[in-house]
Amino acid sequence: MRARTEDLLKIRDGEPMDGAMRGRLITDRENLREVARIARVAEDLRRLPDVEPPPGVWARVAAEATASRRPRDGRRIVRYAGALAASFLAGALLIVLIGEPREPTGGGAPERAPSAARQIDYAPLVEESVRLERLLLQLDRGPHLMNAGTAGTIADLEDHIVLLDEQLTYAEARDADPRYQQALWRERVDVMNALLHVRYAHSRHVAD
Amino acid sequence: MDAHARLYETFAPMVYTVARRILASKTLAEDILQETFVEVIRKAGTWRGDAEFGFWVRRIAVNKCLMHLRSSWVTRRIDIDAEPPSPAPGAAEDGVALERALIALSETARVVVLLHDVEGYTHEEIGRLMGRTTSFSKSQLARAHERLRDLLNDEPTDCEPLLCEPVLKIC
Repeated sequence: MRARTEDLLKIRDGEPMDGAMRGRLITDRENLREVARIARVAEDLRRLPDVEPPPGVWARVAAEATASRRPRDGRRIVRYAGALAASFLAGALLIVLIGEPREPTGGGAPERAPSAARQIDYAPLVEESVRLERLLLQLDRGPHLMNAGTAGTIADLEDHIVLLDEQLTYAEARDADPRYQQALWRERVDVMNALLHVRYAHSRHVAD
Repeated sequence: MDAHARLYETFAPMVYTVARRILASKTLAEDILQETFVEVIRKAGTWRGDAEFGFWVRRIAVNKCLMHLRSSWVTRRIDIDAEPPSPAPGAAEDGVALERALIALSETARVVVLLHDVEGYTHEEIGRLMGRTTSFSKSQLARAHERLRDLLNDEPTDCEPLLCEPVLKIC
Protein backbone atom coordinates (compact mmCIF):
# COMPACT_ATOMS: atom_id res chain seq x y z
CA MET A 1 0.00 0.00 0.00
CA ARG A 2 1.46 3.33 -1.11
CA ALA A 3 1.43 5.61 1.92
CA ARG A 4 1.05 9.38 2.06
CA THR A 5 4.12 11.18 3.39
CA GLU A 6 1.91 12.91 5.96
CA ASP A 7 0.96 9.51 7.42
CA LEU A 8 4.55 8.32 7.41
CA LEU A 9 5.52 11.48 9.27
CA LYS A 10 2.86 10.67 11.87
CA ILE A 11 4.48 7.28 12.35
CA ARG A 12 7.94 8.87 12.56
CA ASP A 13 6.79 11.41 15.14
CA GLY A 14 4.64 8.99 17.12
CA GLU A 15 1.52 11.05 16.50
CA PRO A 16 -1.87 9.44 17.05
CA MET A 17 -3.48 7.81 14.02
CA ASP A 18 -6.03 5.19 13.21
CA GLY A 19 -4.77 1.86 14.55
CA ALA A 20 -5.86 -0.18 11.55
CA MET A 21 -4.19 2.22 9.13
CA ARG A 22 -1.04 2.29 11.17
CA GLY A 23 -1.06 -1.52 11.18
CA ARG A 24 -1.37 -1.65 7.39
CA LEU A 25 1.37 0.94 6.85
CA ILE A 26 3.97 -0.59 9.07
CA THR A 27 3.63 -4.05 7.61
CA ASP A 28 4.92 -2.69 4.31
CA ARG A 29 8.71 -2.81 4.20
CA GLU A 30 8.93 0.02 1.69
CA ASN A 31 6.97 2.28 4.01
CA LEU A 32 9.29 1.41 6.85
CA ARG A 33 12.31 2.28 4.75
CA GLU A 34 10.69 5.60 3.83
CA VAL A 35 9.98 6.37 7.49
CA ALA A 36 13.62 5.62 8.29
CA ARG A 37 14.72 7.85 5.44
CA ILE A 38 12.71 10.88 6.55
CA ALA A 39 13.91 10.31 10.11
CA ARG A 40 17.48 10.35 8.80
CA VAL A 41 16.87 13.59 6.89
CA ALA A 42 15.62 15.23 10.08
CA GLU A 43 18.66 13.95 11.94
CA ASP A 44 20.96 15.26 9.20
CA LEU A 45 19.26 18.65 9.38
CA ARG A 46 19.88 18.81 13.12
CA ARG A 47 23.51 17.85 12.61
CA LEU A 48 24.30 20.50 10.02
CA PRO A 49 27.25 22.50 11.34
CA ASP A 50 26.85 26.04 12.61
CA VAL A 51 27.80 28.82 10.26
CA GLU A 52 30.29 31.42 11.53
CA PRO A 53 28.78 34.90 11.47
CA PRO A 54 30.63 37.55 9.49
CA PRO A 55 32.97 39.82 11.48
CA GLY A 56 31.85 43.25 12.50
CA VAL A 57 28.33 42.45 13.61
CA TRP A 58 29.24 42.66 17.29
CA ALA A 59 30.51 46.22 16.84
CA ARG A 60 27.12 47.17 15.38
CA VAL A 61 25.26 45.37 18.18
CA ALA A 62 27.31 47.16 20.86
CA ALA A 63 26.81 50.53 19.14
CA GLU A 64 23.06 50.02 18.80
CA ALA A 65 22.64 48.74 22.34
CA THR A 66 24.51 51.78 23.68
CA ALA A 67 22.66 54.20 21.42
CA SER A 68 19.27 52.77 22.34
CA ARG A 69 20.06 53.20 26.03
CA ARG A 70 21.17 56.79 25.70
CA PRO A 71 18.01 58.34 24.26
CA ARG A 72 15.92 56.40 26.76
CA ASP A 73 17.93 57.82 29.65
CA GLY A 74 17.73 61.19 27.95
CA ARG A 75 13.96 60.96 27.66
CA ARG A 76 13.77 60.05 31.30
CA ILE A 77 15.88 63.02 32.33
CA VAL A 78 13.78 65.33 30.18
CA ARG A 79 10.59 63.82 31.63
CA TYR A 80 11.68 64.36 35.22
CA ALA A 81 13.20 67.75 34.56
CA GLY A 82 9.87 68.75 33.03
CA ALA A 83 7.95 67.36 35.97
CA LEU A 84 10.29 69.11 38.41
CA ALA A 85 9.88 72.45 36.65
CA ALA A 86 6.10 72.00 36.52
CA SER A 87 5.98 71.16 40.21
CA PHE A 88 8.07 74.20 41.16
CA LEU A 89 5.83 76.36 39.04
CA ALA A 90 2.75 74.88 40.69
CA GLY A 91 4.34 75.40 44.11
CA ALA A 92 5.27 78.98 43.35
CA LEU A 93 1.75 79.62 42.04
CA LEU A 94 0.27 78.12 45.19
CA ILE A 95 2.49 80.34 47.32
CA VAL A 96 1.36 83.39 45.37
CA LEU A 97 -2.31 82.38 45.49
CA ILE A 98 -2.28 81.58 49.19
CA GLY A 99 -0.09 84.55 49.87
CA GLU A 100 1.84 85.45 52.97
CA PRO A 101 -0.12 86.31 56.12
CA ARG A 102 -1.23 89.86 55.75
CA GLU A 103 -1.06 92.59 58.28
CA PRO A 104 -4.48 93.36 59.59
CA THR A 105 -5.65 96.55 57.91
CA GLY A 106 -8.13 97.53 60.53
CA GLY A 107 -7.32 99.71 63.46
CA GLY A 108 -6.45 98.60 66.91
CA ALA A 109 -3.55 96.67 68.17
CA PRO A 110 -1.99 94.79 65.39
CA GLU A 111 -1.90 91.52 67.22
CA ARG A 112 -0.98 89.03 64.59
CA ALA A 113 -3.13 85.96 64.93
CA PRO A 114 -1.53 82.90 63.44
CA SER A 115 -3.20 82.09 60.14
CA ALA A 116 -4.83 78.72 59.57
CA ALA A 117 -1.97 77.88 57.26
CA ARG A 118 0.62 78.42 59.97
CA GLN A 119 -1.25 76.09 62.28
CA ILE A 120 -0.89 73.15 59.94
CA ASP A 121 1.31 70.52 61.47
CA TYR A 122 2.80 68.06 59.05
CA ALA A 123 5.16 66.47 61.56
CA PRO A 124 3.15 63.19 61.66
CA LEU A 125 3.65 62.87 57.91
CA VAL A 126 7.39 63.40 58.31
CA GLU A 127 7.47 60.73 61.02
CA GLU A 128 5.50 58.33 58.85
CA SER A 129 7.88 58.95 55.98
CA VAL A 130 10.86 58.17 58.22
CA ARG A 131 9.15 54.96 59.43
CA LEU A 132 8.56 53.82 55.84
CA GLU A 133 12.20 54.54 54.97
CA ARG A 134 13.23 52.31 57.87
CA LEU A 135 10.93 49.50 56.68
CA LEU A 136 12.32 49.77 53.19
CA LEU A 137 15.84 49.43 54.51
CA GLN A 138 14.85 46.25 56.31
CA LEU A 139 13.83 44.60 53.05
CA ASP A 140 16.49 42.48 51.47
CA ARG A 141 18.17 44.43 48.72
CA GLY A 142 20.16 41.47 47.41
CA PRO A 143 20.91 41.07 43.71
CA HIS A 144 17.79 39.20 42.58
CA LEU A 145 16.58 38.70 39.06
CA MET A 146 13.76 41.11 38.45
CA ASN A 147 11.53 41.46 35.45
CA ALA A 148 11.70 44.68 33.51
CA GLY A 149 8.21 45.76 34.56
CA THR A 150 8.99 45.56 38.29
CA ALA A 151 12.42 47.17 37.84
CA GLY A 152 10.83 49.99 35.83
CA THR A 153 8.11 50.57 38.45
CA ILE A 154 10.66 50.68 41.26
CA ALA A 155 12.89 53.06 39.30
CA ASP A 156 9.94 55.34 38.57
CA LEU A 157 8.81 55.40 42.20
CA GLU A 158 12.34 56.11 43.42
CA ASP A 159 12.66 58.90 40.85
CA HIS A 160 9.35 60.30 42.05
CA ILE A 161 10.68 60.39 45.63
CA VAL A 162 13.83 62.18 44.48
CA LEU A 163 11.61 64.69 42.71
CA LEU A 164 9.51 65.25 45.84
CA ASP A 165 12.64 65.71 47.96
CA GLU A 166 13.86 68.38 45.54
CA GLN A 167 10.53 70.15 45.87
CA LEU A 168 10.57 69.89 49.67
CA THR A 169 14.06 71.38 49.79
CA TYR A 170 12.92 74.21 47.56
CA ALA A 171 9.75 74.73 49.59
CA GLU A 172 11.64 74.88 52.89
CA ALA A 173 14.25 77.23 51.47
CA ARG A 174 11.48 79.55 50.32
CA ASP A 175 9.60 79.09 53.60
CA ALA A 176 6.65 78.08 51.49
CA ASP A 177 3.14 77.79 52.78
CA PRO A 178 2.82 74.86 55.18
CA ARG A 179 -0.19 73.58 53.24
CA TYR A 180 2.02 73.15 50.22
CA GLN A 181 4.68 71.42 52.28
CA GLN A 182 2.05 69.23 53.91
CA ALA A 183 0.78 68.21 50.47
CA LEU A 184 4.32 67.31 49.43
CA TRP A 185 4.91 65.23 52.55
CA ARG A 186 1.58 63.46 52.09
CA GLU A 187 2.53 62.64 48.53
CA ARG A 188 5.92 61.43 49.71
CA VAL A 189 4.26 59.06 52.18
CA ASP A 190 1.95 57.73 49.46
CA VAL A 191 4.81 57.10 47.04
CA MET A 192 6.93 55.51 49.79
CA ASN A 193 4.00 53.25 50.59
CA ALA A 194 3.67 52.23 46.96
CA LEU A 195 7.41 51.55 46.74
CA LEU A 196 7.28 49.49 49.90
CA HIS A 197 4.42 47.40 48.50
CA VAL A 198 6.20 46.74 45.21
CA ARG A 199 9.49 45.88 46.95
CA TYR A 200 7.70 43.66 49.47
CA ALA A 201 5.75 41.83 46.73
CA HIS A 202 8.99 41.26 44.82
CA SER A 203 10.83 39.96 47.90
CA ARG A 204 7.93 37.54 48.56
CA HIS A 205 8.09 36.36 44.93
CA VAL A 206 11.84 35.76 45.22
CA ALA A 207 11.38 33.92 48.52
CA ASP A 208 8.79 31.59 46.92
CA MET B 1 29.97 45.25 27.71
CA ASP B 2 32.41 42.43 28.47
CA ALA B 3 29.72 40.04 29.68
CA HIS B 4 27.58 40.90 26.66
CA ALA B 5 30.54 40.36 24.34
CA ARG B 6 31.05 36.92 25.84
CA LEU B 7 27.35 36.12 25.39
CA TYR B 8 27.67 37.17 21.77
CA GLU B 9 30.75 35.04 21.25
CA THR B 10 28.95 32.03 22.68
CA PHE B 11 25.59 32.31 20.96
CA ALA B 12 26.22 34.30 17.75
CA PRO B 13 27.05 31.25 15.57
CA MET B 14 23.86 29.53 16.71
CA VAL B 15 21.69 32.61 16.07
CA TYR B 16 23.32 33.32 12.71
CA THR B 17 22.92 29.70 11.64
CA VAL B 18 19.23 29.57 12.58
CA ALA B 19 18.57 32.81 10.71
CA ARG B 20 20.68 31.85 7.72
CA ARG B 21 18.81 28.59 7.25
CA ILE B 22 15.32 29.94 7.84
CA LEU B 23 15.75 33.07 5.73
CA ALA B 24 18.23 31.66 3.20
CA SER B 25 19.93 35.03 3.06
CA LYS B 26 23.28 36.25 4.33
CA THR B 27 22.14 39.85 4.52
CA LEU B 28 18.97 39.11 6.44
CA ALA B 29 20.74 36.67 8.73
CA GLU B 30 23.15 39.46 9.66
CA ASP B 31 20.20 41.74 10.39
CA ILE B 32 18.61 39.05 12.56
CA LEU B 33 21.88 38.44 14.38
CA GLN B 34 22.16 42.14 15.18
CA GLU B 35 18.49 42.58 16.16
CA THR B 36 18.50 39.45 18.29
CA PHE B 37 21.52 40.50 20.34
CA VAL B 38 20.30 44.06 20.78
CA GLU B 39 17.10 42.55 22.21
CA VAL B 40 18.98 39.99 24.30
CA ILE B 41 21.06 42.79 25.84
CA ARG B 42 17.98 44.91 26.49
CA LYS B 43 15.95 42.07 27.94
CA ALA B 44 18.64 40.09 29.73
CA GLY B 45 17.17 41.32 33.02
CA THR B 46 13.80 39.78 32.16
CA TRP B 47 15.19 36.29 31.60
CA ARG B 48 13.81 34.44 34.59
CA GLY B 49 16.05 31.40 34.46
CA ASP B 50 13.14 29.02 33.90
CA ALA B 51 14.56 28.01 30.52
CA GLU B 52 18.07 27.44 29.27
CA PHE B 53 19.56 30.78 28.24
CA GLY B 54 20.53 29.46 24.80
CA PHE B 55 17.00 28.24 24.23
CA TRP B 56 15.64 31.67 25.15
CA VAL B 57 18.05 33.37 22.73
CA ARG B 58 17.14 30.87 20.03
CA ARG B 59 13.42 31.57 20.45
CA ILE B 60 14.03 35.32 20.10
CA ALA B 61 15.98 34.68 16.89
CA VAL B 62 13.26 32.44 15.43
CA ASN B 63 10.55 34.98 16.27
CA LYS B 64 12.57 37.70 14.59
CA CYS B 65 13.00 35.53 11.49
CA LEU B 66 9.25 34.96 11.31
CA MET B 67 8.62 38.69 11.71
CA HIS B 68 10.95 39.34 8.80
CA LEU B 69 9.21 36.76 6.68
CA ARG B 70 5.86 38.40 7.31
CA SER B 71 7.04 41.65 5.77
CA SER B 72 6.69 41.60 2.02
CA TRP B 73 9.73 43.70 1.15
CA VAL B 74 11.90 41.23 3.00
CA THR B 75 10.51 38.36 0.95
CA ARG B 76 11.63 40.13 -2.19
CA ARG B 77 15.13 40.64 -0.80
CA ILE B 78 15.46 36.96 -0.01
CA ASP B 79 15.22 36.06 -3.67
CA ILE B 80 18.13 38.32 -4.50
CA ASP B 81 20.82 36.90 -2.27
CA ALA B 82 19.60 33.39 -1.56
CA GLU B 83 22.57 31.07 -1.51
CA PRO B 84 23.67 28.20 0.69
CA PRO B 85 26.29 28.97 3.31
CA SER B 86 29.86 28.19 2.30
CA PRO B 87 30.66 24.71 3.55
CA ALA B 88 32.79 24.58 6.65
CA PRO B 89 36.24 23.08 6.07
CA GLY B 90 35.88 19.32 6.14
CA ALA B 91 32.09 19.49 5.93
CA ALA B 92 30.49 16.35 4.61
CA GLU B 93 29.29 16.44 1.02
CA ASP B 94 25.91 15.26 2.25
CA GLY B 95 25.70 18.36 4.41
CA VAL B 96 26.46 20.64 1.48
CA ALA B 97 23.83 18.89 -0.63
CA LEU B 98 21.31 19.21 2.16
CA GLU B 99 22.01 22.94 2.53
CA ARG B 100 21.47 23.37 -1.20
CA ALA B 101 18.27 21.35 -1.10
CA LEU B 102 16.97 23.50 1.77
CA ILE B 103 17.52 26.64 -0.28
CA ALA B 104 15.60 25.09 -3.16
CA LEU B 105 12.51 24.49 -1.04
CA SER B 106 9.67 26.96 -1.09
CA GLU B 107 9.99 29.49 1.71
CA THR B 108 7.02 28.06 3.62
CA ALA B 109 8.15 24.45 3.31
CA ARG B 110 11.68 25.39 4.42
CA VAL B 111 10.43 27.30 7.45
CA VAL B 112 8.09 24.48 8.48
CA VAL B 113 10.67 21.71 8.14
CA LEU B 114 13.26 23.73 10.07
CA LEU B 115 10.86 24.74 12.82
CA HIS B 116 9.47 21.24 13.23
CA ASP B 117 12.37 18.90 12.60
CA VAL B 118 15.23 21.10 13.88
CA GLU B 119 13.81 23.62 16.34
CA GLY B 120 11.28 21.23 17.84
CA TYR B 121 8.14 23.33 17.43
CA THR B 122 4.86 21.43 17.33
CA HIS B 123 2.48 21.70 14.38
CA GLU B 124 0.09 23.67 16.59
CA GLU B 125 2.82 26.18 17.44
CA ILE B 126 3.92 26.48 13.82
CA GLY B 127 0.34 26.99 12.67
CA ARG B 128 -0.13 29.72 15.25
CA LEU B 129 3.20 31.44 14.50
CA MET B 130 2.51 31.46 10.78
CA GLY B 131 -1.11 32.48 11.16
CA ARG B 132 -2.26 29.20 9.60
CA THR B 133 -3.83 25.93 10.75
CA THR B 134 -2.22 22.87 12.28
CA SER B 135 -3.11 20.85 9.17
CA PHE B 136 -1.36 23.43 7.03
CA SER B 137 1.84 22.85 8.99
CA LYS B 138 1.49 19.07 8.64
CA SER B 139 0.91 19.19 4.91
CA GLN B 140 3.81 21.62 4.41
CA LEU B 141 6.12 19.33 6.35
CA ALA B 142 5.09 16.41 4.12
CA ARG B 143 5.67 18.50 1.01
CA ALA B 144 9.05 19.59 2.29
CA HIS B 145 10.15 16.00 2.80
CA GLU B 146 8.86 14.92 -0.60
CA ARG B 147 10.73 17.78 -2.25
CA LEU B 148 13.88 17.07 -0.24
CA ARG B 149 13.71 13.46 -1.35
CA ASP B 150 13.57 14.54 -4.98
CA LEU B 151 16.31 17.10 -4.56
CA LEU B 152 18.60 14.74 -2.73
CA ASN B 153 17.61 11.91 -5.03
CA ASP B 154 17.47 9.72 -1.98
CA GLU B 155 16.70 6.10 -2.33
CA PRO B 156 14.87 4.69 0.67
CA THR B 157 17.43 2.98 2.86
CA ASP B 158 17.12 -0.18 4.85
CA CYS B 159 15.68 0.34 8.25
CA GLU B 160 18.64 1.28 10.42
CA PRO B 161 18.32 -0.02 13.98
CA LEU B 162 19.83 3.16 15.46
CA LEU B 163 17.20 5.31 13.81
CA CYS B 164 14.35 2.92 14.24
CA GLU B 165 14.78 2.48 17.95
CA PRO B 166 13.29 5.79 19.09
CA VAL B 167 11.01 6.21 16.11
CA LEU B 168 9.54 2.81 15.43
CA LYS B 169 9.19 0.26 18.12
CA ILE B 170 8.56 -2.45 15.57
CA CYS B 171 12.07 -2.44 14.07
